[in-house]
Amino acid sequence: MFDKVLVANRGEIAVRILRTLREMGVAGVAVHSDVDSRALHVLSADEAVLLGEADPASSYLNVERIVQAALDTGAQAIHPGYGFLSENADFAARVEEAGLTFIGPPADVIARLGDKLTARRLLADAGVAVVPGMEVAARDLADLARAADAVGYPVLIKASSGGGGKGMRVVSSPEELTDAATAASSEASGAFGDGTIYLERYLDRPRHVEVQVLADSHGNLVHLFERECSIQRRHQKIIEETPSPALTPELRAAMGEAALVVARAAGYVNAGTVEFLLSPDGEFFFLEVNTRIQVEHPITEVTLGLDLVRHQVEIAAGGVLGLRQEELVPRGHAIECRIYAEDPAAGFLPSPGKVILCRPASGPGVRFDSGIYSGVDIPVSYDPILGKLIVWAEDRPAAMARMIRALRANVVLGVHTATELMLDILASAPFAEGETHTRFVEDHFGAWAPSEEGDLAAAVGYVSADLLGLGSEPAALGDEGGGWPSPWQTLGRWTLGS
Amino acid sequence: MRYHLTSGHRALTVEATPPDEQLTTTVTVYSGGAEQGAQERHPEHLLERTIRLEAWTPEGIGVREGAKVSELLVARSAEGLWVWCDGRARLVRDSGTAPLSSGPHGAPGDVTPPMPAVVQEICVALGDHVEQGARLVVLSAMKMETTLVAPRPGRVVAVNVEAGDRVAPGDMLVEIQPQEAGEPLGGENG
Repeated sequence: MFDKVLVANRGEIAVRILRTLREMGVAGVAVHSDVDSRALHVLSADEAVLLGEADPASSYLNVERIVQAALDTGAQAIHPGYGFLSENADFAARVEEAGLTFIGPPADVIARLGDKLTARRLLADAGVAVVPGMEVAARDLADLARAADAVGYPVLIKASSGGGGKGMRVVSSPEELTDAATAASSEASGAFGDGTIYLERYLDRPRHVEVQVLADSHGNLVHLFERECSIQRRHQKIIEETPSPALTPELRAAMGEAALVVARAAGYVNAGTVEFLLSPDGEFFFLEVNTRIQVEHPITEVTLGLDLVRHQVEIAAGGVLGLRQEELVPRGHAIECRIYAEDPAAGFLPSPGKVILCRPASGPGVRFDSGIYSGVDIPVSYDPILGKLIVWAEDRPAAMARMIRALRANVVLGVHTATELMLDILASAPFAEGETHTRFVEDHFGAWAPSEEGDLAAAVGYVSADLLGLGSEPAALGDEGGGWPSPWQTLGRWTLGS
Repeated sequence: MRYHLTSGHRALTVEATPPDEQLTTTVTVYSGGAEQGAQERHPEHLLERTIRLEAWTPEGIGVREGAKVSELLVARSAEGLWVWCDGRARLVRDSGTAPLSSGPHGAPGDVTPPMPAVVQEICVALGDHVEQGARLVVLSAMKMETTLVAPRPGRVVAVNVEAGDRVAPGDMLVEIQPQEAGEPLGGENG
């Protein structure tokens, strides 16, 4: 086992990884940019190394600085988290070349699966159903048009090196094809340095269901069942749950088996996720493999009683996976709500700023994985995720009730979040009936607005704070905390005066 | 006491009776802000509650209404007071101190970011003539790109930022002199 591991990430995932390292007796090294020197992940580490300026290219994407930080601190391995360099095959190769261990799959596996077209061909050859579409990149517009006619409109144009919804366009008729292709290619070119595009059939209102896999370097491989991730906005997940309300035992077994086929065909090692689209009539198609720990991994952890990060580290250290497929039985139901700094009343525009007050929910079956505390700044340079609220309960209705209870108590003030929208989603009939699909938010909550009731309650809150002297301006101590007048200093105002 | 507030995007007028020794007050909320003379025109109130207030912590308020009890959490920021009530968060502004017209989005026509951001690209140069809707500045915040466009046709008379600058709502990134009807387009530099 390693003595020391560097975590090449920030925010909630870095905190989460560092917690496991500490439990394993492995020293944790944090890296950070200048704006993150007081970030929670730095406070959660045994050692911290400044990488550079806020701009990700100078800090969390700075391969040479990160490798050097690991060498300088004597770390033997690097955990990349998710995002940033986690699915960068060149980074994984560079880490190994420096004599360090990359906690993730081998570089060549990342490269093979990272290119969507290569992955499609690989898996079609292995007998896994892929969404009908092109098997090679489009050479020109005529090529695209022929393929679109063959699979039938509507079609989805995708970037071969894409992700996060970039370089993606839905095209419903031949007239729109040229504009959409040009825009998608230029967006992909800007975002990934590769404008290669292809197209596949657009599935209307599919579910997004993914299967977690774990593989060691000795040929042992298990799947850890599914996560339903259909509730999305801007092509990004916000609410996930497991088990999926859409799967029959037969479908669950078939998808688990397909995920194992995918992992075997790719020579997979470490934790990975095989994503599928599930059509309303129960057909499933391979979408892609995420070669890293996923944001939503905790719902799998709590239903199986596992620590996925611990398994990642043990596998990377050459350990033997002790799990047997037939012994893995998920228990109960888990839901995750992602808490982003974003304003759902303004098109989910990011809402950077300072978290002035954070008081996480707690109680039975509640876990809050976060990278925030009261007073922390949320920089503009990074992903707006603040944390993830995860609940576990014995069945789905109990988990929904528990999530509603937890969201109501999970106080985050100072930046906008979608907490109220997620409360409304969890309380809605379509969610209760499990009718989740990737356009759920647009279809059912497209015209959502914060409630009038909430506005009135907050106005009463403002007045209450003012009457108690809590709403007064912070004392002149600057904005770095300490600005709160004690109620014991200010409370006398009314009791004495009236 | 009377308050003119903006809670979320809603203008509200709130009246509160002076609290008694038990810190009990009756709070009445009306629709509309100060400028409309709201409660005269809309005498129907939206909400009336007689509540007893208790300061529990520096940020927590216990609210008792008969035997019912609830909790409010508050946090002061430069823009106003954040209030948390049972999973709903609102930024409440006192319209007296922060008039609506100078909210974070600036006056209509100002080229200012809707949120703190980093300038990715400046698409115009000093002296350029721009049409309404022309791309002026590309911003990036939290991995999301936003393009600010010309609110009206005119001439670029100031470019106050460079690529890489951090900017915030209220900062004037580019200033455009509106083009008057009949005014020739060419400036002194053509």
